[in-house]
Amino acid sequence: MTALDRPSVGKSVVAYVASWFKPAGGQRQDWVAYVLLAPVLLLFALGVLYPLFETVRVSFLDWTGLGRPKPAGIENYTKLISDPNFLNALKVTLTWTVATTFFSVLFGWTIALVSGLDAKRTLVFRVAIFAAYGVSEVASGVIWLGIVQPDFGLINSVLRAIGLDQWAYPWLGDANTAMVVLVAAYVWTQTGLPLLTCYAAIVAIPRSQIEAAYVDGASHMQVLRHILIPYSLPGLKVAIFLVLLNSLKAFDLIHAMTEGGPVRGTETVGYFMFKEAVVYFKQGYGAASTVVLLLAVIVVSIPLIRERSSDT
Amino acid sequence: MASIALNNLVKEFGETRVLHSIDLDIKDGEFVVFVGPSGCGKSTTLRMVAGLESVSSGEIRIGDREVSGLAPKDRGISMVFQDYALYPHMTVRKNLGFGLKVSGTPAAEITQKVDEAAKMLGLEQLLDRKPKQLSGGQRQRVAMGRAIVRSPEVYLFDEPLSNLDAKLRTQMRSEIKRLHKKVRNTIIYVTHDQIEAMTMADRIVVMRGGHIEQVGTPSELFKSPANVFVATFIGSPPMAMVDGEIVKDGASPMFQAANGPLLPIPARLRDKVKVGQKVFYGIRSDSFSPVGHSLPRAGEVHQMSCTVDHVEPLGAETLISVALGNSTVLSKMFNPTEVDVDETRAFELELDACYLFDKGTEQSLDL
Amino acid sequence: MNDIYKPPLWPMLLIGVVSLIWVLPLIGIIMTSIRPEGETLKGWWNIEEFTLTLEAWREVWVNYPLWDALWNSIKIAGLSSLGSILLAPMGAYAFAFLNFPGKKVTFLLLVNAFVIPNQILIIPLFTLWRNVGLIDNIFSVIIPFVALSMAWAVFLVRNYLVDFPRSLIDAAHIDGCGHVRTFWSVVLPNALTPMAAVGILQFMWTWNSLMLPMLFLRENIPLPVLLTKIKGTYEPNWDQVAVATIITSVIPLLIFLYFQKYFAAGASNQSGQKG
Ligand SMILES: Nc1ncnc2c1ncn2[C@@H]1O[C@H](COP(=O)(O)OP(=O)(O)OP(=O)(O)O)[C@@H](O)[C@H]1O
Ligand SMILES: [Mg+2]
Repeated sequence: MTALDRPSVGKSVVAYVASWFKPAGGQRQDWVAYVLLAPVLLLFALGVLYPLFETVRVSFLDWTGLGRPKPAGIENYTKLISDPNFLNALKVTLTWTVATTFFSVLFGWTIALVSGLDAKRTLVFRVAIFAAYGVSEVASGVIWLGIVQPDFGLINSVLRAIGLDQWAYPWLGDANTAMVVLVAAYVWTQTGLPLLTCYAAIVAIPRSQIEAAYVDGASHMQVLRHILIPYSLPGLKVAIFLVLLNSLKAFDLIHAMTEGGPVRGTETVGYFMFKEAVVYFKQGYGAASTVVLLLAVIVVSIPLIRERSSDT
Repeated sequence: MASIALNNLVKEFGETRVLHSIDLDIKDGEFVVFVGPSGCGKSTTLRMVAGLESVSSGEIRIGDREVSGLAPKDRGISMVFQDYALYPHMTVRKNLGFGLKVSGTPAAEITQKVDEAAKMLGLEQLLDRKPKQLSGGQRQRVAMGRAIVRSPEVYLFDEPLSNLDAKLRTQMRSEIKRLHKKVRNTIIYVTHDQIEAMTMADRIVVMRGGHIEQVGTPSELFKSPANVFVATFIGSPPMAMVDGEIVKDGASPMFQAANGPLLPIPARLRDKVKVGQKVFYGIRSDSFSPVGHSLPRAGEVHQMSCTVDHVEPLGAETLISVALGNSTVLSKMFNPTEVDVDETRAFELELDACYLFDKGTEQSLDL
Repeated sequence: MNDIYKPPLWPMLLIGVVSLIWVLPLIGIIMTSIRPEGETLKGWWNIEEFTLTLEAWREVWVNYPLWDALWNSIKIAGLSSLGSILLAPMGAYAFAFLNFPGKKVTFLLLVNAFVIPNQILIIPLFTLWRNVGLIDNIFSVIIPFVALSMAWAVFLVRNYLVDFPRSLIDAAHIDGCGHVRTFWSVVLPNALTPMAAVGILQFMWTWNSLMLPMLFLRENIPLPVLLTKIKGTYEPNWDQVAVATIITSVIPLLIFLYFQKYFAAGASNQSGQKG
């Protein structure tokens, strides 16, 4: 390289470095963006990013109660995979997530489709179903406690009244039935969500298309099958992801109804971490289980994240 | 005062270059219209002058200042947008005064200037309405008012009339023209409507694909188009381009239309053509009429008989299309009488009003 | 459309019957709240004897700090909503209209954070709040509530702003506004719809939340936390529990039903589709 070349090399390096700060398109930079974003990002860093990194960091610590945290490497994680309670929590989470997602989405979708045939006269009923989604999980939990209460709860009192006394049962006292009750309660609260997204997709169908089908002599079932169902699919997809995510993260309802019991029969990973970290003061261990939950959530939401990201 | 100069102006969006080195000088007080097909870069050029779009390279001077680094408010310009861009949440009065308010003008002065502009545009009754409560034409006036209030040196218009119906558009056209006569400010006006350009401009800038094709007064562009694009873009109906080549016929060169008749070459061009050269022969409908139905002709006239392909009566005149070889040519029949399709008639062609363009370069042979 | 076909009866009947499952529990809770506890021991539906009493509706305020909890709920949900309403448009404006280094990365990080479970927050934030003495201060929950909302709220407002007429912003620049002034005087007044949507969604969500308030608050607890305490007491009075449940639910429920369309926007928004 000759001496003459050097300035141009220097220049191109400068240009190259400058290009990092130049967005595509050679547009001008709006530094004021950082002023507008500062409060948002500061808050986000404090309320989301810091806890996120800190949880990951703590998960590598041996930290219990009020003692001093000690580095623990991956010990928390190795303990987790051999902890029968955690393995149980994984199993419970799987059952819980699959069951709640399946039933809420199935119900919400079906209700949306059927009401698509008669939007007017089903409106009141739709709103009633939808309303449960606006009730907090805690309140829903209490309402459902009233339903399964062993003495005067709705189910047992009706069973006794129709002479089926032997069927009356302490529903929350048995791990299997407790799970069923919990799933039912959660489906009760969540069905409004798939109903909402699927119905929104259905009302967006051009009226002319449905009318044309009827003019062509289609039956209601054919309209359902060939128009309503295909159009509802985007709403269905959204619903599956949203309910799935909600179920994975569920906490409030479980806490209000069973607190994970009986005998950890309804203890999901999202609840397990609370028990370990908050009830038993095992922060490091609890953090490790939270990281596992986070990973599960991320894996589930990859398609959603991809869709969101491609949108920009 | 505010002359405008664009020197070597280039605009790139990412990898795509949408303006290729634009050079243009606009005199103080001149009304310049940018025309061209959609996507040719008119708006982009205008927005660069306004300071809404950054400059990739080259310079923009307004008056004696190089302004490419300045914010829009420091350039002494104001702009009227195609969709008017009135602030929906403000009354007409607030819309008109917003720019002054931002620049910290005292309230009394704002009121006075707004009232003045409102009076000039006949908006006094509408000052307390919101834009939603106005008709399209009224909104358009408010948009103009907003530009006037700030008494800028340069007005920029981006297709300000394209959302109006035909009648209102004609009316606003003359109103803008009148306004310009009154204020005598420099105006750049963007449109894709060549009629708007012809009727309003002191000078027209014809653009295509990020290049300037030709700059000139309306009659210059009409009388001596620099190339095929300008010739077919300016004037309505567009100039017909007859495909063919130059042949030798006795002493003088002639034009041989492909699969068509032999036409004489306009006298002024006879020395400029070469035998064998592939050319387009440009004919405007006004200079090609049925015999007995033409305008008074000045110079050389060529007569020929052609078969009528298609007839379009317009009332005062009738448009007739005929085939000259492979090409279709429109003829204007003045004082029209009944014409039948497939009828063969004598037509006369005013040679001095015809043009030749090289087929390869598409440039006019007059240049 | 009624001219062309008449919808059959069965969809209405089917949905009507199914909706009973959703309505019955609500009727039950109301019935329990307005009858003496002794009367509902055979089930609230049993109306062999029926006495209407508002006893529980009076008692519950005396026996439990329901007023305080209601006030706390209003403060927490109100301030959290306010925070989100004010901050989300600022971020949204930057992402919709401005160019700056790191834009894409920041945006993706922010808007995809909606998948993060609240469980992530509790260990670090509890320690942090304890160290800075913020435990039992309502800001210990308001801060994470607003922070978590940024993920969906910025996205929601940005999607609205992307369709905002670009020329209005250009006009503001021509009129001499910088970006901050444009944001404040031109964009905000015309973005009330997405801001309302953000406020309503956030109000519902924060009002109904249990986990963070339960962990970070001691005395200043909102309604859902109080409700878990009431039902957790040994031998709860079910009529009063019912009243507390109704009081906890009624405000968000009314808002929810009244503003349904915003939830439609919010839900499809979370998925990355444009409403
Ligand atoms: N922000 C942008 N990013 C990328 N390309 C752009 C952008 N703005 C404009 N372009 C491109 O630049 C070219 C010129 O656009 P411009 O808007 O100037 O056209 P125009 O002549 O005003 O057309 P019209 O008559 O349709 O308004 C077009 O090809 C357009 O696609
Ligand atoms: Mg344009």
